[in-house]
Amino acid sequence: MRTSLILALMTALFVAGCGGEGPRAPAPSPGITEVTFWHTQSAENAEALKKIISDFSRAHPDIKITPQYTGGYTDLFRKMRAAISGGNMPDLAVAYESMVAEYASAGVVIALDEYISDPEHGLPKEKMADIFPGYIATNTFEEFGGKMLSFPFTKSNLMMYFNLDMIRKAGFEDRPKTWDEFLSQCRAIRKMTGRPAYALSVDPSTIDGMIYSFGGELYVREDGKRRTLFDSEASRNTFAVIETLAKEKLAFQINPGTYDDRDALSAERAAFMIRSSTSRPFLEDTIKDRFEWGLSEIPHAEGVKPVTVMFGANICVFRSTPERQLAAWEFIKYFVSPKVTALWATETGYLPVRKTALNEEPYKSFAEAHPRNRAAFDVIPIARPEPNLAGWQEIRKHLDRAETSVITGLKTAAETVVELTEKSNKVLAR
Amino acid sequence: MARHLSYHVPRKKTTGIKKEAERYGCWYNLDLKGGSMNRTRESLLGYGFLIPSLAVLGTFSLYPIGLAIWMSLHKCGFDGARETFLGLANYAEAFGDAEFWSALKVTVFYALGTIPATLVLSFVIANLLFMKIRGRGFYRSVYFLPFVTSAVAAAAVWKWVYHPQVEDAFGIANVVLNTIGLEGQKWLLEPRGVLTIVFGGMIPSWAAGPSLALCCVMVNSVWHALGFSVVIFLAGLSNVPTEMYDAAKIDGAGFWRTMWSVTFPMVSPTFYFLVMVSTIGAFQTFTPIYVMTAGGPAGTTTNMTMLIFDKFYTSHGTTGYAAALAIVLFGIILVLTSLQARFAGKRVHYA
Amino acid sequence: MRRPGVVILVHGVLIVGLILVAFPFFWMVSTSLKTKDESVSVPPRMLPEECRWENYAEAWNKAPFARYFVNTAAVSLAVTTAVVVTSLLAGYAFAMMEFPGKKILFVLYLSTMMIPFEVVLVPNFATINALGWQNTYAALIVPWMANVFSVFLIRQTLMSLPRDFRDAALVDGCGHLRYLWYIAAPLTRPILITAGLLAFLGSWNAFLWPLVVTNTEKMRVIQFGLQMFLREESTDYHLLMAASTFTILPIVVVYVVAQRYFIEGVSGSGLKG
Repeated sequence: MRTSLILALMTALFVAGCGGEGPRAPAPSPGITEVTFWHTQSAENAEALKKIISDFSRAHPDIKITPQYTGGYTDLFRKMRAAISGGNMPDLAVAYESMVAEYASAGVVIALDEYISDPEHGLPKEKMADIFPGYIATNTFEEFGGKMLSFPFTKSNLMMYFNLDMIRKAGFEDRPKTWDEFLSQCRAIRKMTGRPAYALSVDPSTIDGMIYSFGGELYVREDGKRRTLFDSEASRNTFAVIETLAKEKLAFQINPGTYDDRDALSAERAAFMIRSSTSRPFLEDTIKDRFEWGLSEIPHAEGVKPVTVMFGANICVFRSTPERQLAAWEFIKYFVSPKVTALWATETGYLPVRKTALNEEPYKSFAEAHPRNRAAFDVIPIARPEPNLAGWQEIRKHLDRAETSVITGLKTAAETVVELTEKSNKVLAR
Repeated sequence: MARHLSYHVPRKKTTGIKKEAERYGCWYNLDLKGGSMNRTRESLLGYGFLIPSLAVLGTFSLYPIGLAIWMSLHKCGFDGARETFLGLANYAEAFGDAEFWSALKVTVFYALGTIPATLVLSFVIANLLFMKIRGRGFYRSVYFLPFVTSAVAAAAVWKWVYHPQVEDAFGIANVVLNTIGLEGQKWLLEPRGVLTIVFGGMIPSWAAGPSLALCCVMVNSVWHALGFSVVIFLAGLSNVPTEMYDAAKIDGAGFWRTMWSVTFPMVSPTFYFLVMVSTIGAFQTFTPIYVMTAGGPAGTTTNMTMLIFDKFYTSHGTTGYAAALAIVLFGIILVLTSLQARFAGKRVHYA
Repeated sequence: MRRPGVVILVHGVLIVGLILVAFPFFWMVSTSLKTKDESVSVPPRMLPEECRWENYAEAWNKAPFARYFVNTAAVSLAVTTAVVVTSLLAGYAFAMMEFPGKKILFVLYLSTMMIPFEVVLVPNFATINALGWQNTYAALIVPWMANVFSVFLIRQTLMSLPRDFRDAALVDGCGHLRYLWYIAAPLTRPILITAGLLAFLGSWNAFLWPLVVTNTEKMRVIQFGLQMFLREESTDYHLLMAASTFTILPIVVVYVVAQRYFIEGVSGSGLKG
């Protein structure tokens, strides 16, 4: 046993001494700009990304993009944080707006405005106009001089998914368009099946969307300070709806972090679910032709125009050398070009960022194949972004707790709204 | 009669040994009063033995702790850069923060719920696995499995067990409840305290105890910790010299007598170790809770470590505050372990 | 020797416990053999319709697992060896030797266990970068080469050895080093194996630290590969479970072999008359 111990020790030291690879892969050849890109795509989406990157390399032989899969968004955020303090930052990374805000407050993200307006490398006005305005708005950070600090990358919308067969059986013609219709359909379906009709996934973005759909805003700027509007009528109405769903057992809550609502919809144990448009391909796979189903924007209040929430990740460029920054920008430009965004949207479940993507193959045939395929795309013009203020991530956490308190009956809607406003204002005051 | 069954191996007289030491010229020093040369040599050797681990720990644990203390006295930016000196303001804020007390409460409930259960269960199981029964090796291997099952797989199974669907339930827990005539529960989604659920609304909210969700998480934790604790106890049991058991048998001691006079004392250092380590572990649990409930519902399973994680990553501008919370947690654990050391000092039997 | 009733009772209790304890593991393996639909079916299925062993091949090919295995094995072996050596030395010092400041040093050691990982993550990464070790084996190994938990464990075990072992042998003309090598280490073999096993396991399952300090595929570890199956909007459970199974198989094998060393007690060969 002693000899094997010594042997193991020597092997270990040898291995440790070997060192490994070193900070970057083999030394870059001269004339080629290397760009590292941290992303969170895995499986098939990663394949699509790799293909786009290799197409880009052919078009730009002097730029080499090295994609690195860095786990989920939280993992990426942790790694980034370590890199900001400790060194070794990437040139490009995907990020949610809230993450970009944090990066910006640390001063490591560059604004893209100069690149956009640059006569040689920029995006001319028509091209920018082709990008959905909501995507531009969400990447413009008013807190940081109204600059665009990121660009849309993997966008999606909040959609309501519904089982049309079940709705019809309950005596209605079509999906609910207003919240009142939604509640009556839920009641009827519950009466019919004896079970809750809506598989509810607690999600701050859904609450944001509901507040918008009641005609409300989430925050307001007053005297140079910002405060949330969770005590507004729209917000109270939102939580009242949730309270009703809980009281009348019209909805059941799913375990957070699971896709039980998708499973429930597939297995016909629920008629409604509200989730990101990225769920569509998975539902296609599991439901197939067993029943008729669809997706649409979420219901709205009477007298308010239909609206929904847009989310998804963006991509930002970090401060480094001018060559690398420019190379990173070229990649972004390439990625949002109509052909590429059309390809990306078809291969993954995400949405194209350009209006004209609808005219490009393969997205064109894809959209024409089935009305469901373009349902999310059609909703983009009415999709509103969530606030991209620093601190909004924490407010989302309070929103999550608020919704959980109401749906589990722990607190009333009225109490929750008051608490929520207080807590979120404290965050913004920091 | 009782005293007779004490199995200390008789000590050798020390004076005889000292004479022998002098005879061999051995450096060993029985009596610390003499030979400062010996003492210095032993001290130096002692420090030498410590240097490898100290070097690593110093760089990768002690230094960051120092840094964290420093950070906790400031308001820090996202990248940890010091912004303003706050003195103890972060700590003051913590003590006034309802979230902090809630997290502390959750942490304490969690510790109380998991540590005794794990220790008792694993001790019983380890003893069973130590007996000369057939298939011992097989059983031991199986009982280690919880520790190596991936957290994601285990969480998936537990989520199935605790599935919240009440009508047409298929979660095992709800099925069991339904069979004995009780209504299904929402388990991991239930933020109400267990006492409230069992005894109804008479219980005021502060006395409601841990939330049902937290109780479910605790069960998962005990399950997971078993594999580890059993292994440690097994190793500790292996250290009991067989002569002791033999002597006990010769003396006609039965099962419980042997347990009381031989096993318990000899295993007490291991026990002490496990109590300390379990406490430290329980106060710092993160992954088991995170994969089951991510701190929900409504913050009833958010313990101190999760709160710290939150303040580090979700909140804005609270890096210094998070560091302060970490130091507070650190202080609490330190106090607890010192108390344990003092309490156990007399009772732990070192031969 | 034992009444049959007792034996049956013991087996009974162990078997009941076994079911409870092994069930998630069983479910993990069973799911790894299901089709994608079966793996997410609700209510969940216990057994797959037919055993799809090809899931394992598919999972293996999703990421360069061979490379990950080599990395993880090398790192874990190095860490384990280092931990056993450093912990034995430190544990021995704390248990058997006297030196000024012993108590304080021990408390200092213990205190390193009391700080959550998030707090030490960023400073340690900065240290690694300052040493130029990013994306190297050194970064994966060195910070873990000492483990207070093992030190504590070994200290407890050594302190529980009958005092006469120590006294007698030390008189016999040997210094601490010889005592340690020839007597203390062999005597505490089960504990050393346990400490090694746990260190190995910790290293094998590490995710966050390797994620932060490595940048290229060539240096990644196994847990990282498992992340590949967690996609943003869905999880390929059947593949994830397959990967999880082949990931822990080496550990199970190591444990099955190691647990044989948990023999019933010291044979007393070291105790002189």
